Amino acid sequence: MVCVRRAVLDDLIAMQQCNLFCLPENYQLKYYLYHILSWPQLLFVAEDYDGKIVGYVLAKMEEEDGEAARKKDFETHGHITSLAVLRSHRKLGIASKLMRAAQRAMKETFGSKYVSLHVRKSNKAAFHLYTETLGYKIHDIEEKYYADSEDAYDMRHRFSSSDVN
Amino acid sequence: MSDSLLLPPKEAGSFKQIVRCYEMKQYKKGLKTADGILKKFPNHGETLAMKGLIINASSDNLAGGGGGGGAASSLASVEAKKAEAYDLVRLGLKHDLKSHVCWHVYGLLYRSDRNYNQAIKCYLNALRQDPENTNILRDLSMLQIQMRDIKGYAETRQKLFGIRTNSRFNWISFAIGQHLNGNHEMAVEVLNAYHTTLDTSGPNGGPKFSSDLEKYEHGELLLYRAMVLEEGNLFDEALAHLDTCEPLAVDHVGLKEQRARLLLKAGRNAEAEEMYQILVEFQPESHSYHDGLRASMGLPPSTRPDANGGAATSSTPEQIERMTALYAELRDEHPKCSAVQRIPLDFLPVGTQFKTRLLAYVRRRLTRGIPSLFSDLKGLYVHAAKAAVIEALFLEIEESLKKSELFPEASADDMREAPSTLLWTYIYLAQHFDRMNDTPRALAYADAALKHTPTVIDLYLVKAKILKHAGDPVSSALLADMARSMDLADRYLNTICVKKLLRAGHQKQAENTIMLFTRGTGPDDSKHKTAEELSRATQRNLYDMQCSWYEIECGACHERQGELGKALKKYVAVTKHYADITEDQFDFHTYCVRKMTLRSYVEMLRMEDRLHREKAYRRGASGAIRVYVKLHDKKPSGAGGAGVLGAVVRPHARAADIAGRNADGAPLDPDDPNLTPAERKRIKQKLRKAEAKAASKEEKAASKDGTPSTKDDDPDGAQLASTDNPLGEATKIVSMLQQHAPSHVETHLLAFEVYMRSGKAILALQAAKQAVRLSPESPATHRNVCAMFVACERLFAQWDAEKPAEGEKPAVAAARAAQRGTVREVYALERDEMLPKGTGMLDRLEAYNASYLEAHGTLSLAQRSAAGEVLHRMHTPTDWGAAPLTGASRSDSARARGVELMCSADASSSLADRLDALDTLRGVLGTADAHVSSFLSASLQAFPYARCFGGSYELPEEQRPSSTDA
Repeated sequence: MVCVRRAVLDDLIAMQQCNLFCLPENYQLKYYLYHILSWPQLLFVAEDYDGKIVGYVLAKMEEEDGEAARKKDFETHGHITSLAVLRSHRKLGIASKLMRAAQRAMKETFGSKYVSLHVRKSNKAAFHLYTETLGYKIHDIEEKYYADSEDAYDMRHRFSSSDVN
Repeated sequence: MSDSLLLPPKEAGSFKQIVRCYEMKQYKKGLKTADGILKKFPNHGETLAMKGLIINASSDNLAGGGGGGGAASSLASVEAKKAEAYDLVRLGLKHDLKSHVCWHVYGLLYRSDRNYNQAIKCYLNALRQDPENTNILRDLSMLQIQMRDIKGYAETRQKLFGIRTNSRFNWISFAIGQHLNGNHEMAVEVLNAYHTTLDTSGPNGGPKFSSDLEKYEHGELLLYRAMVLEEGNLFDEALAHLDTCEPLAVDHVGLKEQRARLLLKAGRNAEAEEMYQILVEFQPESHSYHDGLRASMGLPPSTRPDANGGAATSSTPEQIERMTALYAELRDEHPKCSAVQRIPLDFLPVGTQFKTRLLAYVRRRLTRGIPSLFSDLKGLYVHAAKAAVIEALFLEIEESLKKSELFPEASADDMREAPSTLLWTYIYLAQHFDRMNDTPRALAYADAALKHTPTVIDLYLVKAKILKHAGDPVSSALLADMARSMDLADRYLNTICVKKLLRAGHQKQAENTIMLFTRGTGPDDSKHKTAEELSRATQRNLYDMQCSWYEIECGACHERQGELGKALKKYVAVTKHYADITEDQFDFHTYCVRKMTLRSYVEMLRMEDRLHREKAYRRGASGAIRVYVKLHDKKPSGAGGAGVLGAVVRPHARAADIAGRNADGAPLDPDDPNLTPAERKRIKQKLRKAEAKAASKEEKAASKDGTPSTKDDDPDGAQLASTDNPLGEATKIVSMLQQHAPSHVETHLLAFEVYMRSGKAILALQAAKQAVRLSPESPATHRNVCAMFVACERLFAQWDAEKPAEGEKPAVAAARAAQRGTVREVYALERDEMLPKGTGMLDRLEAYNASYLEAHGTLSLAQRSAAGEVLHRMHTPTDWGAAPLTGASRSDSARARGVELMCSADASSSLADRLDALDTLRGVLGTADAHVSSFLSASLQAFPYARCFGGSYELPEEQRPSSTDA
């Protein structure tokens, strides 16, 4: 059994280590601090029965006072910075639970209109999760987005006014 | 300001320009202007100070920007610039001690070097000259909160508020100061007063919001007030406040959670229960909601390890009945929820119900092939009876699946299970028998699973873990590498493999493996970079990303191989991450007040205060201390001055550290006193070869490209390790641990070792006492206490024998005598408190040792081994039994009893305990003793795969990775 709950400050170090354990894109702790101190409602962790962090989602808002707001047609929206689940805890639906929790909070707490994310072209499992389970669509392709020069899909999922996810 | 310091109008204008240049980062221009003034007025203090400030700022640029020249030269020039900056500012101050500008600049200088305490002093001096300078007050308040001078922060924020009340920032910061300072009611008053200044013409009595962001910020502010009320124990007020702000707050979940918590705290259990029911309804998998629900219903808390400190709570039959009913109801409401199925397995006693629920729980998960099933259930194993039920049930499932492809108790019409269900049953049983320390059966099931379906990657990791527990880290690493080779894109597999390679002592291979995922070290980069450059870049990237787990494991790997500099480098890196994380707060002191995320901000301050309690920090810090102690011990005696106290303590190796040693159990440290001369020679030769190889590589790398690829000028920690004062360095880290992690026995064990070696008898005594208090059964604690009393007796005897030094002043001698008198007094007191009464020291120690053995000897081999060691040393005339200790005559039979105890392993003795005991035996009797070899062979029999006892596990060809580039 794994519990998905909002992250608290004391989770950040475990989140960072979880990220270093299973993802190639890593961040300094300050970046996690920046997220939780800007949008405390948008970070979630998956905790196993012993209280160990086995997954997390790190998300943010592009708000009207931010850089992105200078573009025309700007709408307040959320962005998934990073999502990870340890291999040892796969098949439990944790990733989609984390994503839904973050998306719900983006919408309810920050009035987000849609959510965006980047995914490696080669990451079939994640692409499947985003398109099939969570209803994301490809918005654009960003060439050589990753440090190893792999392309990224820029994906979006628009929130409908009725459903929460 | 005295007249002589006033500049004429033209120069006064230039001075203003310098300040502007500094702010705009136009350092060159600023310097030129300053030099212009100084030409005419060489003693103008503020100009001198500003010049220093600008030089400092441009040197920071230099350090940050890198580029151009080599690493060492840029570092040296930065240091020279810094020194020049300090000289100029101090000179400026000398000429104009009453200038707030000079003091402010001095403070800024210290702040840029993170020397916040000095900076605070400078700001306070600046304020003495100019008490209402808001810039200085603001800077000061940031430093005060950073350094947790909460009282000072509250005062400064109050002052700033008094100067300017029309700023939201000042209102909020004033309230935060009061809140943190424990003045909750005042904080609430400030927040209320601020509220009255706001517009209330919007809906629900709130302001009119022009954006979602404004609405969010307002909601956060309201919920911050609720937090202050709650922390001030004003529960009813907080609840009333939540009611009024509910329509305005946007964090609905946070609000509901707080309301439930407050109702519980206020003792309004019925309402709390209702609230928690709503929350469980909303998120039935949340541990804390279930905890709250149970608390509100007067039911015992969860036995999860993270809840309630893992303390077992016993429930009455009535409570169990109520909980059973509650969870039956919740199961009906949430048929898909795991929590409501898993939680009852904790509180149900062994019996039919337990078995039924367990079967229902595992059945679905085996069918679906959930890899984490074992980790999910492993908490139940603390109850032997439950472990037995689990074992019986899974064996039953195995039987049933083999016979009919059905679960037990399934009807014949049910759907047949897919073959993978049996596979996952095997995998579970392999993990189960591993947990029960039944290696042969664990391996049999792992192999059965591998034969069934060799393509399931997780299986290789399961078997790797079994082999690790069986003592063969080398085969374990091979299996992990096999798993990794089956999915190269999965960093998790890469990580597990790297970890196991490090445990197996393959540092280079580990680095080459992790390199596949670090930045700038991928396959493309390796084409145009030398091996050395790739290695440096990898280590640099892992450091930049604060990859503590790697640094801890890598440090331990180096430490086991006697590469102390490299080990120290890694351990110190971990402690540096934590210093950086402490520093990270700085920007958020203003950021959060602007963003209005005040609840999280306060939590951040608290998290930072707890930071150095984190396990990763403690492991890095402990490692660094251990290495410093080893460095001290390696120094030629005399230079180190270990003295009588230090001579008695032997470095205590942690079982986990010994576990990774090479096959013959010989640590790769040429200075290890347990080695025979031949062994020592062999290891030294090996090390020399390795060094020569590394040097030649370095040379090649340097000739190819003149500049070093990184800025780290001490990549192997040689400089770190060459410190003249390793104990001084260790002491600094020890005090961090004592301050932040006093509840961990390891802290005090390490403190003891450092203080004994530094000859600080009283501090060592305190550390030993703390360890006894926390962990009276710990073998290391027991050894320490005994060693300490022996050492002190010797020290006092030495003092008695000392002749007065020639030409010493009587006053000095008297002072020393007084100090020594105090030490003796304290010791005498503690001795009488801790040791049983008796005539001589040895008698008393023996009685103390006997009572330890009686109290804890049945726990494990580790305790018996420690007691045996003490007994043996005490009765050996060349060891602790040497004069001047008084007491009964040394007896051969007692020594024999000591050996017997040190060898008293039994079927329940763990691998780690046996290793530690072997280490003890070697230390006491020497490596060549017959007891050592017979203990070794008995241990090999108990752990046939353990490399440290000379065993190993032969992996079948198909479970090995096809190529290893070791």
